[in-house]
Amino acid sequence: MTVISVENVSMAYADRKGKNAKIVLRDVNIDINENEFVCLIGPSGCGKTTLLNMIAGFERPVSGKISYRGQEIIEPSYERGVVFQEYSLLPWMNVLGNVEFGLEGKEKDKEKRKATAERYLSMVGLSDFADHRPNLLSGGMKQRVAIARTLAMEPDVLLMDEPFSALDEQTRGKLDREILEIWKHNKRTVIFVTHNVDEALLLGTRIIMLSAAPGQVIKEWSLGDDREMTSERMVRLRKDIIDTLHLCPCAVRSVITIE
Amino acid sequence: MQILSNSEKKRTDIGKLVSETPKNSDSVVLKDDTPERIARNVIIFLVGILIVFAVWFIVAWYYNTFQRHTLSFPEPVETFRQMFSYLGGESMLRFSIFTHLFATIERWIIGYVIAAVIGIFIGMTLATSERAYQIGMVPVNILQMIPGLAWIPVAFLLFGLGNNTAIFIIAVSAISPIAMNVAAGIRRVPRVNIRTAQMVGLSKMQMFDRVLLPYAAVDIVTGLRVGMANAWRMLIAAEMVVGVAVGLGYTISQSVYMLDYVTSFVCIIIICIIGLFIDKVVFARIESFAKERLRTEVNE
Repeated sequence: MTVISVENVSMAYADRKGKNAKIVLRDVNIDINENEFVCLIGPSGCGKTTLLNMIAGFERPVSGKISYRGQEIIEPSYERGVVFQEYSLLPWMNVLGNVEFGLEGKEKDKEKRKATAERYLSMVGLSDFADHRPNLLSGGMKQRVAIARTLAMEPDVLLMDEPFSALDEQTRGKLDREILEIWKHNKRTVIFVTHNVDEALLLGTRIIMLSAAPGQVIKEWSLGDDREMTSERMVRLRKDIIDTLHLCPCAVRSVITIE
Repeated sequence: MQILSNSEKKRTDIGKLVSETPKNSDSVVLKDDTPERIARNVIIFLVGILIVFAVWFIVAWYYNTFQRHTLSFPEPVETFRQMFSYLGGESMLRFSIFTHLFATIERWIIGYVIAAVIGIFIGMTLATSERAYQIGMVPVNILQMIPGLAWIPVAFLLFGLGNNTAIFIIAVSAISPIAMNVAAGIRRVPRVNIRTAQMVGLSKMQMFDRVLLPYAAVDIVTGLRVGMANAWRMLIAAEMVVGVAVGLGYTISQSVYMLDYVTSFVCIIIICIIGLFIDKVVFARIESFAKERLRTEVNE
């Protein structure tokens, strides 16, 4: 079943003087199905984040339509939880308080809120830091708390906007594997924005590449369950993706399914 | 003997503390209130005060020696002696000094509370949208540009002579800094935090309560502090001109007419002490509390 459908969506932003508008996305069409893990990749500035923000409901496209389970998206909702690229914890709340904050609009019972928050905090392995303030945490820990906060909302669709791009390679790899584990045990629809091909290959069941601005879907790949990065198939796939990334941003759409 | 600079000394001090703490501990307690530190701060303060008195003394001495015609310029010792006698109960312009003081403080509190309520409300309204901010900043800037005493014609028309006029002038000069800082503080809240709250499903009111106001707390306190200083200065000026029968500002102007300069100097000192106390003790505490709560200095 289609969970998110993006139909002929274009987006443009007016410049500061209000004389011109820069076109960020043009006629994008994507259908995302139940329990897919979709990785959006593409050169920076190609509108990946914009697309994610529109799916979340923070912004509305200038033309076209984005729907969530058949309903047009007009505002944010806790059905679509976002993990942001920037650090987004509230500095005056401790770690547990920040996770509980994710439930404030949904769950009125304080005790239940606390219990759920504790469960998700332990899922990301930070129970020991429950009463720390965010400023005492490393960047990786902050993002894990943000992930716990969003997971605690138990959203139908999980939207992740380069959540680990500010982290070092090692931490990123570790968190990527954690995300994968969580998703395997708790299947849901995920849209993950990244500019890192390896990250996309590790996580995605499907990879969609956008061209440089104005962003258009240039190619997409469907992956199976094989995550063995050194297997011949994955090496070939990786090469194909990188080659496509280096090509001119032509607007040819093709779907390659690799068995 | 090895001479250490201040920062070096602090560093080696911490080093010593670290070597003394148990191996499994990951923090050390720094004693910030060591006797030396307190003594140093007291000395700094005393030297500062001494400079003020020295300037005062030199001016008084110069005037009394070379320029004196009829009246003498009050000297520090003389002024303080008079102040203690007022504090001991001697009547100052028909009332005790405390009656004047409380009248002044009462006026100030009423005017200031009115200004704070209106200012915070305006600030929050301005922060609700970009258009509201652009439109709303025009009257706020106009308000800002009119000096407090220039409101006298308006105040006389609305309230006549007396207490309410003074309160009006106090309030009107504190509103705009409060409104501006509240609006600026709320507008500075990172977009990602607003989006988080939207995604979580908070309503507009909840958003103010849970995210915007806590984030803006430091700016709000700053606005209240600037507003307080404005109100305090205007308070004395207003009392001097709008015809109230009791208060420190009133006493300054009356004692000048009566050529009792010592009394007016006493009032100036008391006004200064109270203003400093409110700003440096009360507001500085609130501000550092707000900062501590927010951890703004070390966050990200």
